[in-house]
Amino acid sequence: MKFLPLIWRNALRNRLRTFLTLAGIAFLLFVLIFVLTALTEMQAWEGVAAPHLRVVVQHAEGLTALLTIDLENYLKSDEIQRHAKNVTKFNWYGGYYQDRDNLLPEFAVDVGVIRELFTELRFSDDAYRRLLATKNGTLVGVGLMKKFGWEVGRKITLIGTFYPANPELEIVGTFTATDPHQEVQMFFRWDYFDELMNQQKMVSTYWMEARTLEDIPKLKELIDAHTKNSPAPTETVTEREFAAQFSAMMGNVKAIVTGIGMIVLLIMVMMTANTMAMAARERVTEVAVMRTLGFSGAGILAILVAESILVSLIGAAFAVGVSLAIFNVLRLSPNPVYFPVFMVETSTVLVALGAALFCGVFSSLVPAIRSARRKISDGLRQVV
Amino acid sequence: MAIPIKYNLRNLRIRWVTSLLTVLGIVMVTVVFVMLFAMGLGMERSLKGSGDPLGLIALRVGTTAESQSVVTKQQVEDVLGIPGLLRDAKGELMVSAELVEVSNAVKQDGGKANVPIRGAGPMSRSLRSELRLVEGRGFNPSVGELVVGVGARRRFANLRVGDTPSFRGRKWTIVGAFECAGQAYESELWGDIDDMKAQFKRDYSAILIRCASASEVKRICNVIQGNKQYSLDALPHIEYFENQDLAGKMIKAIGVLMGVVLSIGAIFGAANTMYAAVASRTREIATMRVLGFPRLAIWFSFVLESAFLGLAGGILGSLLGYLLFNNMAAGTVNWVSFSELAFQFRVTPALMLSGTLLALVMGIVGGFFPAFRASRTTIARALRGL
Repeated sequence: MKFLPLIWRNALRNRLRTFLTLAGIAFLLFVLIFVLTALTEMQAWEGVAAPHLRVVVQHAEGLTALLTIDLENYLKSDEIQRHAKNVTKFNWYGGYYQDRDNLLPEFAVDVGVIRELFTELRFSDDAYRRLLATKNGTLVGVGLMKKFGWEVGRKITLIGTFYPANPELEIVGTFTATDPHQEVQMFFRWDYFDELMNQQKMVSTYWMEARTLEDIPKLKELIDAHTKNSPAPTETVTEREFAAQFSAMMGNVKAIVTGIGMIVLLIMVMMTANTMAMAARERVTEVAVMRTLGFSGAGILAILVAESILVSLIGAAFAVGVSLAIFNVLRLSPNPVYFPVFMVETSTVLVALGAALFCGVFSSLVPAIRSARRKISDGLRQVV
Repeated sequence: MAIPIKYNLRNLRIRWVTSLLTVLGIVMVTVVFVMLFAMGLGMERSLKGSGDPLGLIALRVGTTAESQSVVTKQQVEDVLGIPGLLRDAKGELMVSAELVEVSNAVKQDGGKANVPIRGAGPMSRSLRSELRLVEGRGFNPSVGELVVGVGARRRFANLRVGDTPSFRGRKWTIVGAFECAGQAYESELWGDIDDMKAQFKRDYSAILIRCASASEVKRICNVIQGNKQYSLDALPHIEYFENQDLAGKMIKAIGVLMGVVLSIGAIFGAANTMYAAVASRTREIATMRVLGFPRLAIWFSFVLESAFLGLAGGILGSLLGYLLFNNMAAGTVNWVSFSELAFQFRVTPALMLSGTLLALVMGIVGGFFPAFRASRTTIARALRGL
């Protein structure tokens, strides 16, 4: 610690170079944070789903195929209710508001159970009462309310894309959630949706809550066996598995994004290595003098590495600060259609700081070892 | 009087470690830029390139993808009654009512994704002149035969000729594979329209119409759109596919953003290298000034040196991007139709040129200020100093 002033003075001795390195690191780390955030956002739903015991029944051939309404009776029978509770029909409506780009996460559900099923959503008793009483009522997340400047009582029309109907909904209340991703969702009544669809009883998925963790495999087995030879065979999955299907559909895009992150890290290490090599070269004589004064090779090494780490971490602090300001405070999204929420996670910040540390150590190691090992006489002889 | 270029090249060679590290940084920035754009261009080709410039498509009002649309037999007959539709050599109307349904299938990597299945009618092939079989034979109606697009065959596990995948409770046999100039159709399975209608218990999805000219496309679109009785949306086929290219557009936008931000990072790196180069050559520069080289020549010489770094990085990066990514098979979800879109990365000559130019700009901008410093070296002080 007592060498901190020396390290600091060393870093400041070529201010321009230190500034350029620092700025380079800050820019590159910003890209890294951006890329990592895109990755976590692609899988955000899995994070939301993780702490819950919710189970989803979908058609074995994927989400575009429909389930039968008869299945509901079975799901509400004693055989299943022993292992689960709060069964609801659950359709993503797939409609947009005003503009095709505003395809919203709007779900038609049996509103009678959502309070027990989605315990993480918080809404007032009053709002819930109105939802139960209003056929075309909808409960809207506060994020979505803010995005469109809606207020409670407003009537909104959604334009259906794959369901040929346009629900005219009345906002009866708002909800908040633990995770901001859920605050851009909205829920409305499945019976109203069915009425619009001329009572065709189209069910896309059934959701329910397993009573305990051990009930989940039991539910999967029972439900899938029950429908095996029916016209609509099912696949019962946990909410997390359900969400993972969507990120899996992204295909190679995920691997490509990870690859970009790695390349960015590599560029950063090379750039800093270049600077540190230059810094070490400049100080050959000085290092030799310090060795003569009795500094050990390890001490010299530590001082150089510490300088590199210091510069990297300051650069990282800028990158983290700026990205937090842009994405988490101003809530800007690079593409509101794909990423209605785009927020840097704590884990991403830690990875970025880790990357900076890694970069600091690795970029300075070779030049530092070389200076520490150089013979004192050689160092003193060299004229810079 | 200019300083010989040889001077710069020799200098780069003498400081080869620093030069190499700087060039490598620029190489990697170029690779990232080329890769992102190649991905965007691949998606774009697979979607945009699928549009028939003389075609139009009619869908149920409000839908954006064939797989979501439902068109009834009556609506098809209404459309066939529009006067002035184009006929082929045999006198058949060049109109094709088709059905597209998506179904889950297992991918090569074990995951699942939706594959689109198209029920094709007698006119379907005539409307896609680029489609040709590359393996096996065409499908026969009513015996559950399918042909597979080469894109889907690459991405999914059990869709080779001879395989018998099951979709919607029926076993199908893959009897052939087709190519279609890299278009979106290559991500699909094709079978007989009546087979599909029976199996999926659905009407048609969309009506495709070939027109005699671009003005006819407009006219017929207006006829369908303007008459409520059809209750269909009609739009030029090209526009239909353009609307689906959300992902391609986004990736290209991100490509530009990343290209710019990464380039700025690399510019700082290049500037650093060049400042060091200038600092270590102060006496050399002063000597050149004494010999009579003007300030401008020195400025230009250093910018040129930095531009070399950029150019080398750009050429290497573009070549590397080409070798690594050109024609790489990839797939992602087409959110509009909710099915897997197979595409190939495309590293075009224009893209390689852009990548090289971007790198050149990185070099020039990175060398700009250091060169300025070099050109302002005061002769007396520089020569006196050690």
